[in-house]
Amino acid sequence: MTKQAKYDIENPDCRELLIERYFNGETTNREEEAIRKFLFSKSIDDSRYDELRAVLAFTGTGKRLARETVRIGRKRTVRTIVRIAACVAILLGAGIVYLSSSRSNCVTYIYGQKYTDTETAVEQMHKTLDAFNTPEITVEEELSAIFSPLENLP
Amino acid sequence: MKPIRQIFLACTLLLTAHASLAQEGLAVAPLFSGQYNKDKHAVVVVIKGNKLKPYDLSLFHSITIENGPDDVALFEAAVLADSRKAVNSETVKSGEEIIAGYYQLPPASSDEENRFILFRKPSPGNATLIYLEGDTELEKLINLFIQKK
Repeated sequence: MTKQAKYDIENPDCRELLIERYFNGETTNREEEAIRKFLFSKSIDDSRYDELRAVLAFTGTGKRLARETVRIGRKRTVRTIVRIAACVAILLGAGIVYLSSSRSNCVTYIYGQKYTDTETAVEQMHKTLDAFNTPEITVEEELSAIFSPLENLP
Repeated sequence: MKPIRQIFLACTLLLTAHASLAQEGLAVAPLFSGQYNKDKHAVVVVIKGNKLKPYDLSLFHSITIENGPDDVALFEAAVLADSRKAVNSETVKSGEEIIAGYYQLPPASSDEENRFILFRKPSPGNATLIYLEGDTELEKLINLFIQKK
């Protein structure tokens, strides 16, 4: 039997064969659709097909419901992901703002050794700044050195 | 999972951009990139946040070098290059040589804070380089840190 003959639903022999294969669970989706189309789109007054109509109606409803459930499930999943992503973004944003503005962030490396406590960093900062304060030459002295020769003239 | 990935990527980029903006466009920037963190002759101090509020600063980053004449020469060259961009400066000289320099540099962009470089070289092998950021002025910092009595 050729492929074309398989779907020839108008042919009574093919139709019977297809129906038999349908009940055996051997039909493809396309074949099943062909049977469904034939039985529901044409007024066939043949009681032999009542059982098949009932089965097709039942499985058709079941399939439709299953599709809707999957679609709703997918929508819910996407919404959940978006909600989680939004929450993560808000938390990250808040964390960045908190860390970069309010809290102190201190790191000190003393001769290659790392310290992360605030006390060490502040102590080293003052030590570093104190080095600028040594009584060698200050800006004041430098300025006075510039102007003093004029003042010290006899 | 794409949205989550995109958000993480965006946050990472934001953090990276924020961190790399500190010494943007300055010759001293490479010196503060972390190359002295593991140096046995250096003391590096980085402070951000609350502890600097009393000084109207948001960032304190210093490098003190001991017995490193090559590094001191690098510091000096970088500071000299940046001093040309200074909007306000004070220097202390010993003869013709600058032994200390305090420079106020314009912000990296119009909505950011002022930037400052403090440099001191007591000897050819020893030097301290400080980079500061804050909503303050050079005179205030000099009065606060250097001419305190």
